[in-house]
Formats: sequence, structure tokens, C-alpha cells
Amino acid sequence: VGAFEWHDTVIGTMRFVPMGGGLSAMERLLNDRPQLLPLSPGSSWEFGRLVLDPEYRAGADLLQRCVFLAVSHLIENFGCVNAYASCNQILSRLYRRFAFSVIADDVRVSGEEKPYNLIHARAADVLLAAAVGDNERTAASRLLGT
Amino acid sequence: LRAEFAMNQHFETARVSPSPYAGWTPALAPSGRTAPRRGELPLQELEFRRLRTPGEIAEIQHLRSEIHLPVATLRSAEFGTLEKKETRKASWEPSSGMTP
Repeated sequence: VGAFEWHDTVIGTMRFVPMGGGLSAMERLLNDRPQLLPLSPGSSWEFGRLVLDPEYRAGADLLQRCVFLAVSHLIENFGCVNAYASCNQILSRLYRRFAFSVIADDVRVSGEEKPYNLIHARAADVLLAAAVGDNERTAASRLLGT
Repeated sequence: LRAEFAMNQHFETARVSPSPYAGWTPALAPSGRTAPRRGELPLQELEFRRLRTPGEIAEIQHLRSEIHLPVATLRSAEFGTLEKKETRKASWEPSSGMTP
């Protein structure tokens, strides 16, 4: 778990779980769909539990900045290559803007009317999609060695 | 359009009128700085920090209520196990071919 902070003030948090050790719920879902496993070689992580403090929610720019910071950290410190997440259909459309694509749309969740989606992206693509402005694009390129 | 609508709902943009935060007084951040108003966060000053200690995790517990998990997930008998993860490699189960 990591925190998005403005100086000492926590703005929000996000959780990343490494895949491959049986720790993530995503692995169980993917194990039922072996054709999706893995989509590309390299380390895979489950993204989730992204939450922003209601007092600071202010639209897409903040979300984009948070995704950029978190994925930068994950790539730099853990060499993340693949990003997976599960979410409802509406949020899966939202995360398209961060390079995620739907790899399964038939995950039935008890108590939920509509099926959930599994989404996947290359972490590098998420980073580039989240980068705004020359500074972030330069930082992303440096991090990705491009 | 639906995604855009959802995002606006999900992240409650400042375009809401009348603003439910019109009378909101900026809090004093722990550093002594006055926290910026909603929508005025200097994004380039944000940082991401990995939380490592139980104390650090405890400080963000208030955000848990903002995470809307499926009801079935919350009621699952495995919820506690799945939420309280042990991430030392020694504790990992043999699993898929993916490597972290």
C-alpha cells in the first residue's frame, strides 16, 4: 500500500499486490482462464483499491497524476511489467484512458447484477498514458529507458 | 460518455453546483501548512510513498470506508485472509507461472 501525499497530508492511497505467489485474488480469476496467463513475460502486479480522500477529489487531473506517481514507483522499485485489475464495466471504460484493455468481461460476482471485467495493460503503457507535460514524459522515458 | 459520467461521479469533480464544499474550511496540514482548497492541489507537489509500518497503515484507515467493494467480497469468509496479506516471499504459495 502506498499513499499519495501533499507534504504530510495524505490525499489518497493505492494498493499493489505481486502476482505469482498466490496472494492476489486476480490470480484465482486468471487461473480459470489460462489462455490469459501471462499476457506478456515479466513481473505482474494486481492494481487496486485506488481511493482519493473526498476532500481532495477534483477531477481527472488529480487521478492522472496519482496513477503516474504510483506506476512510476512500481516500475522503478519492482520492475513491474504487467498490470491487472478487476472492476465493473463502467470503470473499465474509464481505465481505457490509462491503456488498460478488457481481457474478460464475464466475471460473475455474487450479489452484483452485472459481471465484472478483468483488465490488463503493460505498465509502461500505463505510465506513458498517465504522463502529462514534458517533465513527466521525460521522466517516463528515462524510467523506461526509451 | 458513460465512462466520463462515471468518472465525474466517482471523483466528484469541482463542477458540481452548488458545491457541497462551498463552506469548507481548509484544514491545517500536519506540517503546519494550510491544506489547499478542493481542486487547488498543486499536482506537481504530490508524492507517492510506500507505507511500511502498522502505524503508517493505521493513519490511512479512514479511507477504507471510501472503497466500495462488492458485497460478496466483504461477506466472503476469505476476506480477512485476502485483505491481510503476508508479502514475504517465504510465505508465497506455489502458483501461476508469473513471477513478481
